[in-house]
Amino acid sequence: MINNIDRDKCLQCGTCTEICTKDVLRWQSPENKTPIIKYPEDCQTCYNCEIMCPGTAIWVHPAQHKVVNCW
Amino acid sequence: MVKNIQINPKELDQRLSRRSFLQGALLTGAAVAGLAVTGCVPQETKPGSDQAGEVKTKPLPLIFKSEEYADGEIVDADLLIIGSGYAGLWALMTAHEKGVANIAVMDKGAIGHSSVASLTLGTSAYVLPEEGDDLDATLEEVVRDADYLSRQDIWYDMFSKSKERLDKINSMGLAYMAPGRLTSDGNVELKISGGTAYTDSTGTDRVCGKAAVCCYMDQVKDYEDVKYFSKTMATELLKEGDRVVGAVGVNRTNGNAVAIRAKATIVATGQCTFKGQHAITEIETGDGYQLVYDAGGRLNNLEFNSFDVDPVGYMLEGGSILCEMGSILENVNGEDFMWSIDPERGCGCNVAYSTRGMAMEVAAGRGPIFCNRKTEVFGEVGQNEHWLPFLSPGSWQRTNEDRFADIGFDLVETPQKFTANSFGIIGAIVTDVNCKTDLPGLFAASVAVSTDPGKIKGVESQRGLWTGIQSGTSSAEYLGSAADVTLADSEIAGILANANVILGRKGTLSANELITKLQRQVFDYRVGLLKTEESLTAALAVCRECQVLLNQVSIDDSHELIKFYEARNMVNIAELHLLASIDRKETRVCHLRMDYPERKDGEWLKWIEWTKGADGKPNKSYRNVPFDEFPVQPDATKGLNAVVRTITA
Ligand SMILES: Cc1cc2nc3c(=O)[nH]c(=O)nc-3n(C[C@H](O)[C@H](O)[C@H](O)COP(=O)(O)OP(=O)(O)OC[C@H]3O[C@@H](n4cnc5c(N)ncnc54)[C@H](O)[C@@H]3O)c2cc1C
Ligand code: SF4
Ligand code: SF4
Repeated sequence: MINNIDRDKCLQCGTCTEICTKDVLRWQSPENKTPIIKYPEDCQTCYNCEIMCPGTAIWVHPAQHKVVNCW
Repeated sequence: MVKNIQINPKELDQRLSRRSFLQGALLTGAAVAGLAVTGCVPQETKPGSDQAGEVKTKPLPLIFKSEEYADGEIVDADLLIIGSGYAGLWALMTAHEKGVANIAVMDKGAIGHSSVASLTLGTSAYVLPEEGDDLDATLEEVVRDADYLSRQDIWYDMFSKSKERLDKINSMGLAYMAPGRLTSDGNVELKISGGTAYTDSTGTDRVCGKAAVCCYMDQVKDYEDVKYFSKTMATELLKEGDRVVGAVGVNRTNGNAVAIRAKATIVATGQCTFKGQHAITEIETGDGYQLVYDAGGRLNNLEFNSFDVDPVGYMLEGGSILCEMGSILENVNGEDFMWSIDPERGCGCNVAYSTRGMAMEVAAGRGPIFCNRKTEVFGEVGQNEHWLPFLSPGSWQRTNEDRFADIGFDLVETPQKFTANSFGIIGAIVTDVNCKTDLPGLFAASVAVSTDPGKIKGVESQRGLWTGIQSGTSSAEYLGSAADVTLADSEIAGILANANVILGRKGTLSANELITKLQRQVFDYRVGLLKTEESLTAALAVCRECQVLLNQVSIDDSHELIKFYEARNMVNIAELHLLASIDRKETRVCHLRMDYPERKDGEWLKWIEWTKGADGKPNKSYRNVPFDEFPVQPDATKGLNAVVRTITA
């Protein structure tokens, strides 16, 4: 699950909010392109945001928190 | 006895919180929603830097900017492509090459980047008949291993044009990181080359599916007359009589509804995996199936579903490939049990059997199952050229494995708890060999085109490319003589208004809660893997409860609106899946009925097809496989079913 966005490294480029596969990340407001982790429970731990972030500002936690019906 | 040292999210959190190098707010769990960097506004533009203070930024990736639209807007196009994974992008390239202008591309995520395609190993499998492969023999193997229900016309066309596709891939500069290999998946032999690599137009090296998607995006980036509608989920196709004339979509960021009125429409939306835990399948919610079904199109093979061998609690792509390469599935007693199921290949057997073998072991009380890929068993991972592409630096899989290592978890030397996770419904939309559906103006592409009841690993990406080319070509031909669309704005207005009218609805449960309720049914091994009349009927009852509960889902914002539609689609497709599973009273390839373990060729060499009845209820019909038109003839003594008999014996 996405864990951290380092504000000091963030370029406010909007890449992560655009490409997040699950719409987990949003801008703080239409005027303020600071990304926020708005729907963390929907993160699918795909690292898309981290890999594509030009500022290397994102850190994704490797565990999947959502485990349904495992046996 | 296997030592149970497992990935435990709580323990991970603790280890994580001891990390000192993390900067900024450290967030764990859902409780932190919205707090990540709230109130901490970075400067306008500032290069990132690592701890040593070194400047460390990468170029901005190529992103296709979405059109902005007001709620209720209607946009006209010649061709609408819904979905921008491999299939959607290849459909775009093909239609454009054939002279189609004024194309609209709609995707519920970002164009290209948030497709499943972008998170795969790459565009990966092919057969090369021109270079010595025996196409007829390959076709026979594919058909045999799907217990003879394959669309032979589609496979033949797809295989025979694979050299053409590979040449095109090569000409775009997309490279393969490992040489082609002959892999055995059941008895099917295909050349599967390792992950792809590409330096994109921003000068950035990309690997795996990202490389392929960035490469295809580079190909189309300069097209004029293409409008992109990203973050826009298609919820309903527009109709003018029988003809499909575009679609309505809703925006996941602001909830606005838009209609694209188009002369031709291609649905390239991927599979239905019920948001399974299997790596990165969460966007595959059967949207295209529902769109086409609602519009009057046909679905088939929905009773066939596949599972993959996956870890519990973390992401891994290629679990079954790991097994093929020598890692071992062990039961709770540390026994390598798969040899009793497939004496020739053990856990390297077809994934349809290894997953069912795992379920049988659990049912017999010898679960849970562990995957042992210790160096002494698996060999040095670093030396395995075929596993290596999975771990290419820059891929999500490598990032994931490194991340675990960073925080002190050794996924290799510690056997991990594994399970069979749903990889989804295999059946899909019925088309002809040119990817035309029954409805004028409607074409399908991607893994949402029904080709086969079996699971042939590694060919899905080629299916994406092939369907992209076919549908792009067919739609271009159709547009050559298609009449103008006359559907009036006033007729579209009502559909548009309906699409987001439920926004803000207060209900009694969330979409996630409803989805979890459904998942507990369809992922249960007694329902998905070892089917019986009883288990399927019970699951169907819960599925129908879920259909009723759809009306009670809270839709607080546009994000939840999209999840509501995804839940609706999955619940409806699950109903068809369960109905079809109950109906097929035999065992055939990826449909194992414990109460009907035999394959019954006399009765069941036919497809079960589903259309939406006039009363809104599922309408079932049968279609015989046209063996008089197909080269490979059924042989009752051959096929994967032989192994199933071993499992159920
Ligand atoms: C983790 C993983 C790894 C895989 N690796 C391989 C591999 O290495 N080789 C291989 O051959 N196959 C692989 N597969 C199979 C894979 O699904 C396909 O190869 C590939 O994704 C097919 O591309 P596609 O275009 O058909 O579908 P997708 O890539 O799923 O694209 C569908 C697109 O449609 C969009 N969409 C869906 N519904 C809607 C809607 N209602 N409105 C608007 N847009 C919508 C989605 O957002 C998405 O962008 C893998 C699958 C997974 C999950
Ligand atoms: S992609 Fe990275 S740099 Fe760009 S907005 Fe997101 S966190 Fe900031
Ligand atoms: S890991 Fe994937 S799903 Fe999670 S926030 Fe990043 S892009 Fe979104």
